[in-house]
Amino acid sequence: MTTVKPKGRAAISTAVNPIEYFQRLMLAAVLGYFFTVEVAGLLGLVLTNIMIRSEAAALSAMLGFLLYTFVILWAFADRSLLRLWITIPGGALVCYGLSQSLATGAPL
Amino acid sequence: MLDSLRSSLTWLHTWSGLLIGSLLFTIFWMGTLSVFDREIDRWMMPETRILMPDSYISMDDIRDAAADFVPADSSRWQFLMPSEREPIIRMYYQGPEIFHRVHLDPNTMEVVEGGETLGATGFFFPFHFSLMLRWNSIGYWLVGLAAMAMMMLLVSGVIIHKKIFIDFFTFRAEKKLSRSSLDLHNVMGVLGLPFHIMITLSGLIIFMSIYLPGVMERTYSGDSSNFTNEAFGDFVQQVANEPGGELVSFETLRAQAEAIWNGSEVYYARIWNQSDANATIEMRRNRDDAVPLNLDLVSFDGDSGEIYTVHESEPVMAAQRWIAGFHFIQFDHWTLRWVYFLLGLAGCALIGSGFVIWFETRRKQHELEGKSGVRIVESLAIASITGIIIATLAFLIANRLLPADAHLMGQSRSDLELWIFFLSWIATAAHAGMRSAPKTNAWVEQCGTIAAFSVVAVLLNWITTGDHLLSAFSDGLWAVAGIDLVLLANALLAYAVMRRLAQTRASKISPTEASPCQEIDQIGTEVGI
Repeated sequence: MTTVKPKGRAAISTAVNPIEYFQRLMLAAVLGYFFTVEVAGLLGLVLTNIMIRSEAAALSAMLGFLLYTFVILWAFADRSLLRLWITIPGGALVCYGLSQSLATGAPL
Repeated sequence: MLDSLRSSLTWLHTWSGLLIGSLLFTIFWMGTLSVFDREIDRWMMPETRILMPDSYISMDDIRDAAADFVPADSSRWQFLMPSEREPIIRMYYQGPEIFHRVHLDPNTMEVVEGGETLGATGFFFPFHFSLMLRWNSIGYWLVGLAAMAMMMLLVSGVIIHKKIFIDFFTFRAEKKLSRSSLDLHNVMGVLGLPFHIMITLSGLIIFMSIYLPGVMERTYSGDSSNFTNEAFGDFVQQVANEPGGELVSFETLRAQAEAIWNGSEVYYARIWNQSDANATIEMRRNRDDAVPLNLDLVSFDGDSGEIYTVHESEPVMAAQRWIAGFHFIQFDHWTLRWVYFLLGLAGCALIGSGFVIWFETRRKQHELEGKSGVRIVESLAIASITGIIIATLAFLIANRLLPADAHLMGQSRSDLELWIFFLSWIATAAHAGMRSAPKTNAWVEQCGTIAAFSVVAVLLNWITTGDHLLSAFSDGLWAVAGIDLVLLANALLAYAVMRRLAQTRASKISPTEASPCQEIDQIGTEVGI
């Protein structure tokens, strides 16, 4: 990313390049949402072993909002776009696979 | 994204706050009003300014009264027992086409007739969480988006702080506007932080099955259609498609339910498929005496009075209901209700001052470069802040001015009230847009309008109902007196702001004053906001 040294308030938001910004927005709002659903969903599925289903679903959904807040901030704070592009969609896919495998009993 | 975590988050905080600020202010404003929704209802529905009867109110009397107007084949009808805050029986029933709302006087069991209005429970409250956009639940999702943005703004706001403890005590009202509004933003943000985080998070958690249905689906291995029944205890017996007999005595069911809850009262009953042999009658437990919006209910067979189910929340759902109850503040606690109201206003001030910081730190620069950003954002801020307050007051005034049978071009009286709200709001935006820079004129004029409208609303309440302040106090109509007092306080405040703004405009600020806003200058240098 290019960092033009802005001078005081004169340089208005020129420091962030729009293509990078758009990627981060997608990572935070869209992919981050699916990441949250899959991670919290997997947690819920695992929790059904120690509590009844509706309780597991409610608990993991409530924790999901905290996780999503963290993911949004992370998507804008992390300097490495590559790391975000690997972890967020990748993590969602891995958790989705694990959930499917746990639900159907089929190996990954 | 930028050189440091702090600069990245400052940038994010600034621009997402700007983008979502108007929506957030609307949600906070409507939520703040909803804290006193039942009191505003009494003000807007003068026919319901009734005192609670001392005598016992029989649910069988309510059943018999409802038989006069609820169609026999209605798929469901329901009612809330009267309370101190709402001394009428609020009843809803499914008619042939629409879902009706009716009020019964608990003294006479007669339907209370008055000008049709949504009031606060029918407008401010649903607008707060759904924006009343029903299509594909788009309103819920927009509110959810704003709430997630608020979560992010609050956390990033804390991280980008340099001196969170000092900011707690710092408000330099006499400094230049960009400095004092940053101080105000910090004081409101830090002082109200626990409340703002909890109220936002709890708002999201209330609608967890709307916002995160995927989590339920994964947990239920694909089919989560049973989640609502299992978590919330909803139960309706399948219809038998055979005609049933008369409904059983509600009083017997009420006594059974109250015995199960060790004397806790029934506050709400719902009747499903009343003419079917498998009618279901649901009794719900009072929520006034504790924080949780408990889901305790007993479902009965409407014909035999036999118990179908008894539901009580499991531990996690009990926690979820505590969180929901914390958000709704429907339990009896007047001190806390006022604290919520004030903290809600602090949230509005937080969002509003955020706008002011944005355009005050850029005003000179934009003027020099001939950019229009400040002008546009300031117009948006005016319409979002003073505009929605004017629209709300116009809604109250319309409620007092429209005759009981008002209708126009197929629009009912309550529709007309909504039209007046939205048209006034649009008018304030147009006014803000037309007043060219500097916008001080638009702020001054809209503050003046707020002051005038507030006084007019109080006067109209007096003229149309006779319940002026003194008479409301002496008759024990605390809700009406309270709303009038808040309106008068609002008028004073708006007048004071108008005077101060007009003076500031008159006395030009000395151009030699030292840099008023070093911190912003510094962050601005770092981040380029």
